[in-house]
Amino acid sequence: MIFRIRFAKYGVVKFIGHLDVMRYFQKAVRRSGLPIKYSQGFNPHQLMVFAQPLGVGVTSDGEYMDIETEDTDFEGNALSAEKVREILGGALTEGFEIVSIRQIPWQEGTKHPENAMSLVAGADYIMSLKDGYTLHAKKDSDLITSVEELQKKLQVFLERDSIVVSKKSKSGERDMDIKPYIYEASVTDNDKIPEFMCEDTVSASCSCLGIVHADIYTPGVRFFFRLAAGSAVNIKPELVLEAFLEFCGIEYEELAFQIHRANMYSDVALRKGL
Amino acid sequence: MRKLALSDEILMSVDKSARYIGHEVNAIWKDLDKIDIRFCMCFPDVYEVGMSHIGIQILYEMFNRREDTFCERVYSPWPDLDKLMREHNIPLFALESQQPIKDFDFLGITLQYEMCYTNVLQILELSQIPIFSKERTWEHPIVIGGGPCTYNPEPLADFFDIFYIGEGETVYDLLLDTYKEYRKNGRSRHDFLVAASQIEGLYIPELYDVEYNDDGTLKSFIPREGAPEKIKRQVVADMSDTVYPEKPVVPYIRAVQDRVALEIQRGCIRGCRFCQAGMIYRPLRERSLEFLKKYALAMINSTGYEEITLCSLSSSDYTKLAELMDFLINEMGKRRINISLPSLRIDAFSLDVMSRVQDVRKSSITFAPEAGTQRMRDIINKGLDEETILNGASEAFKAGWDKVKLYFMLGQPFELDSDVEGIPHLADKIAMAFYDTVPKSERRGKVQVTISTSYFVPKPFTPFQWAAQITPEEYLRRKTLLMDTLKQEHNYKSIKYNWHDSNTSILEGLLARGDRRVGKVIYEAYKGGCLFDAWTDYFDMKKWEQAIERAGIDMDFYTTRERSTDELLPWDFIDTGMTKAFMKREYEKARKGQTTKNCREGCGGCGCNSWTTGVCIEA
Ligand code: SF4
Ligand code: SF4
Repeated sequence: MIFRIRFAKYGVVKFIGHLDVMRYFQKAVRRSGLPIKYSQGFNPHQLMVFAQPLGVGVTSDGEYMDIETEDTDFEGNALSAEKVREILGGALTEGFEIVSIRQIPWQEGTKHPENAMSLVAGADYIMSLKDGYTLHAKKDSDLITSVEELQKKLQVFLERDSIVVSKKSKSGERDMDIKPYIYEASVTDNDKIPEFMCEDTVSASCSCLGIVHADIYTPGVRFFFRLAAGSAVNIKPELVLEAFLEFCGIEYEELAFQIHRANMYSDVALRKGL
Repeated sequence: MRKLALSDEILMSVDKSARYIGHEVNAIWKDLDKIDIRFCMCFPDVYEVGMSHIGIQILYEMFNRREDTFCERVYSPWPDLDKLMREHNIPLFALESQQPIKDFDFLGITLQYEMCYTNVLQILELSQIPIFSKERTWEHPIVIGGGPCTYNPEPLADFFDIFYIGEGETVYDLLLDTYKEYRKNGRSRHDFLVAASQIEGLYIPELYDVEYNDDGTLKSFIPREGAPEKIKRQVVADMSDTVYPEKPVVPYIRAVQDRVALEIQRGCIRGCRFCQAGMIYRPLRERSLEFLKKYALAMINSTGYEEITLCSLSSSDYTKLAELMDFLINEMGKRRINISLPSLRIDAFSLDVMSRVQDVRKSSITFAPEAGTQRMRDIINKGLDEETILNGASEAFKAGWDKVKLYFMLGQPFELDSDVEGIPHLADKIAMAFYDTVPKSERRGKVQVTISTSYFVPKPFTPFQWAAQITPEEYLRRKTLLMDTLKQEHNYKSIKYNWHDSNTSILEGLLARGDRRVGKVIYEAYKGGCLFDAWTDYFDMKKWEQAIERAGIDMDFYTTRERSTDELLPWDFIDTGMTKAFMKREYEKARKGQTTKNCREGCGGCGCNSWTTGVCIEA
């Protein structure tokens, strides 16, 4: 059986890197007694696939992993999403939390369904200005003070023909037009969540799953992005924000923002979660 | 979730910030309002090293079983964080509560190797606790040292309030109870230390006056205020009825020992004359099979580790090893848990076990003959002869192994050039054994024999405690001799040679057998910027040389000088149970090349039978 688990990562464990998170879950599965399947070979490993690494320091309500299990637990009871949640959830420590689990329909012997990693196409992010920081103008620029103004600027920014940034990769830096990969963007300074991030219908007091563990900071300024993600093109939100603030003549400070991943999608247009 | 002591900004700018956040699986948390004693356990090296140490986990478990005590952990901040903490004046904090250690009742520091001594001072200074014991008041924690280095605590005497000599499982309760009583009754810190000195196994350095002769040797070592003349080492009598962690703390980041550690026994029967561990943990005491089975399963279930390792000094001597291995191979196999084996004596049994739990093609077999000739192995009482080594190697080659590691020491007492030359000769014979046993068609290439030599450091409480350490120049000469001899061996292309750095070993020699005056070197070295000296990248011999000069210490006096067996040694006040007469006898026998039986073949009369436990009373 294949289960797709959506989990949150928040609080102090945001400082744990991706490889260590993977090792954490491998241990949690062993502690829990979940009948996970193993690969063949001299060094069998658990059949567990993570959708997308999360950077150190970033919190999330929308991490995904697939696990492949036996059909029954050790007592012979049939496994179900609820059961997996109960077993594995009990072995997690503070900062890791199962948001939801669903079983991926699959008949053993038939073609393996696409895994979470290959499905990722987009992701939502919140970038919150942290305590002790302000947005301040670069030399020779006027400071944009109100969020309304920022929102207007953001529209102008997005409507440009191209948004060229220099993107670092293993093979060095290169210029890239990221405009096609920014699907949504918005800024607020109140507790409202932009429409595009609401998981059901739009409501002023949104309680989307995606923001449950997003820390709230005194300045209140929050940027929201929906960006391309996955193995083909992956746009980091800090790249977009830096370009935008640059465009506004505002100093970009890397540590001024807490990044939170709200969710990931397999089809951005359809807002289809993983 | 607790607030962290370090800001996001700091944590985002240092390497491996997960070292500092605590909250690991199985970490303990207690309501601070409901406890009386706050104890911080410290391993003065980086987190990944310290978290690998089973001793700390045992004591963590033991202290936290007390309802009135909350034991937390701390490790050495890496230099990147060290710098930031100083810049921002952030006091060092314990991982669990993230609160400053300076507000704790106790800071317990385990001393596992000499090259961590500057890190001890770093811990104190970053904690904002006065480095010198005499400057501390009730405002500061009681700083207590434990671990193997306390068998000569003298170089650190000025920095510690108390040393705990021996195994931690025994008298800590008494110490904590005494502490509580003295605090409740408003007694002075000094009064408390005097009271602590009455507890067996506790050494309070400030209660001892030291005088020196004109030639620099120790003249007298006299206790004051009723402190005992001899400090009796603490020993756990029943290793199967004592505390052991069922739920060890599991780090988020990969520790050096990323596995469950099962201590199967303590002590060693073999009595190699250079070996401090073999002497100070006597007598050998095994844990029962039931105990080990229970804890193996409990720890695997509570941690989720995918590997378990046995630890002990000489696992092959565990009498029920075959049964234990059967149990583990069966139970761990079911759970897909790997078993990693400590170095076993190579014989048919161990090769069989090893081939069942590891990939023969990838792993290597290890011998630690420690000396290249039989003459020299008799001197050090290493009960391992050439025939056994060659037979073991041939068996291993037949079973598919083709990598062999050999460990030796250079500079042990009475070593001749011919003994040094014996090392490559032996390696060559092993390589030869490979080509003789494995037909060409079955070889996957050349055999790989690796020789490693370390530079012998005489240690307290061994028969070689009086011996001269050879000079670094002499070590290098012997190393070169070894290398030159190696080049002439028939199979030299199959043999690799690694050698240990000479600088750290000579310093280790100074710190291992130093007296109180050597504390000045440690202080000067630390103030001169030495830190993480056990790390090659950070070790700086120049700075140490400068420190030695500033402290006005004569290195040779402590390292290359042979002591008379009548000399009062700085550590003579410790009673390990092993008699000085035994050590002298062993030193004499070494000189004559005579061997001593191991404890199971026949008691060597070391004196440890006074503990009436373990191998001394085996039927
Ligand atoms: S076998 Fe020898 S070297 Fe090894 S622990 Fe025992 S006494 Fe020490
Ligand atoms: S008293 Fe005898 S048996 Fe006991 S540890 Fe000493 S030598 Fe071994």
